[in-house]
Amino acid sequence: MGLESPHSPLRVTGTSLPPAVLLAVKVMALAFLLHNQLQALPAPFLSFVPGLDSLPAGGILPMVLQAACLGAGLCILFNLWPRLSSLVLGTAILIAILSSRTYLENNRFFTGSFLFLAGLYSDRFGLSLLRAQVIVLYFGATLNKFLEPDWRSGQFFVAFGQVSGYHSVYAMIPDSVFPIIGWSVILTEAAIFGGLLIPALRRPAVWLAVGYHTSLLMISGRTFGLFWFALLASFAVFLDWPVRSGEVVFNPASAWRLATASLHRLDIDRIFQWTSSPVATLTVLGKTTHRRGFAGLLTILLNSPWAYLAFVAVVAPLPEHFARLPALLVLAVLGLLAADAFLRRLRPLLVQRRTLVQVSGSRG
Amino acid sequence: MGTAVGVGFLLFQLGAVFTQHLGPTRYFAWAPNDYVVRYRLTVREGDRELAASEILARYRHLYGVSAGATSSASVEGVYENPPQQLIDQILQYERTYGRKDHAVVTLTYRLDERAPVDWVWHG
Repeated sequence: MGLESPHSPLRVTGTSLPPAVLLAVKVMALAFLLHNQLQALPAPFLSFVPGLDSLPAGGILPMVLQAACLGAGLCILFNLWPRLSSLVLGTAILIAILSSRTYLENNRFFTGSFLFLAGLYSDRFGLSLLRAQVIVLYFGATLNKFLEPDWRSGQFFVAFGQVSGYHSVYAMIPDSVFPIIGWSVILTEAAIFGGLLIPALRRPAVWLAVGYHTSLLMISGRTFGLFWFALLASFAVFLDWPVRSGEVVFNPASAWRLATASLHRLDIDRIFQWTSSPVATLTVLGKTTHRRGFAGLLTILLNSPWAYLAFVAVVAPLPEHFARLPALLVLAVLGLLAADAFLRRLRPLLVQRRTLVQVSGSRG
Repeated sequence: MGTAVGVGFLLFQLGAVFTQHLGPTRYFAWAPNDYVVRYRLTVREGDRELAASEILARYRHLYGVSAGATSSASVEGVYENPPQQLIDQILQYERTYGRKDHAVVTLTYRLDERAPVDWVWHG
């Protein structure tokens, strides 16, 4: 099976799911398979559904769930019935949760729910259900923190400081700061919730959410199981992704030729139109923007499904104490994007000011 | 049909988000890791205190993020959900699998470093 095959794991087009949804479920399936989640699937024990853990055949449930999750996960990765496979994987995770209270974690519930809803995708209703799932999560998280006195007073962070590895750092924080931290978190989650609801604010809300959850990973050193992977992947359904209007102009004889040739070859979904030019440095031409060199490279990577899958393939199996390294990388990319956006807004103002100075100089 | 199931599934979650606030649990209510519950758990069957290893085996994977034997006869850990969810699991075990053990379970916990609370179950 070649890279160009319809069943290439790197391909996200040509199936019954939109590219953004297929990428999201592929990331979730890959993270699930590589994050030791198969082994964690439980035998029925202290089930939510009365009697489920006393069924005579209950002992075989973990094997059935493991087979279903492995089969469905691989089918998603290889574009085999991806919608049905998402439904199977999501349903299997939800059944595992119902069969054992000890298996319930928010990260598993979210992953199972998103996959389940991806399996129910229809062209008629589009991305509505999947977007609603993420919005319901932020609504619940905001409401819970707002209603808990310990979050409003900052007492939660006093306690968190006691159990975290930074007890001495927390001890230096004045008590008056903890309520500010608590309210900052509540307002951040409320802002993400509100931003995801309003189409014009979706993009900034997604960047805020990526930065917020990655910062939490930096502070706590934890991905919270599948949560960091699954939640960040789910944001694909809020973006017009991938951007299909881009044109990449590259010089096949430049110092970047090896990297450019690889990127060109890996663009199996034809997300970009590739044009060679003997004089150009690598440039990505969008509708309104031109990005050259490193900025162009970053634009290509951010719109390349394989980049996300490769990232998860490397990071998901890592022991949790290495999780800060990829988080640092994500924060660095966010910082570069923020700097790029800031400079793009600043440049017209600088040009305008220079023109004004020149005009007034010539008059003087 | 599929969309109706999906809408129903989301409505169930939305219902949980509201109704779970009427009680002390937050099942399926998207309250992720919003609590710090430090706890100590001991179990006695008749005159015999269960060893820490026996307690760990008794309530498999019950303990949240960092549980371990801190003495020969108790388990300590940190739980990140409301303490009632921890109690629910112990209760369900003692009322089903452990019904005939007539165990006395003592759970001492501090929610967000507030005053310690003792919860005792006599089986």
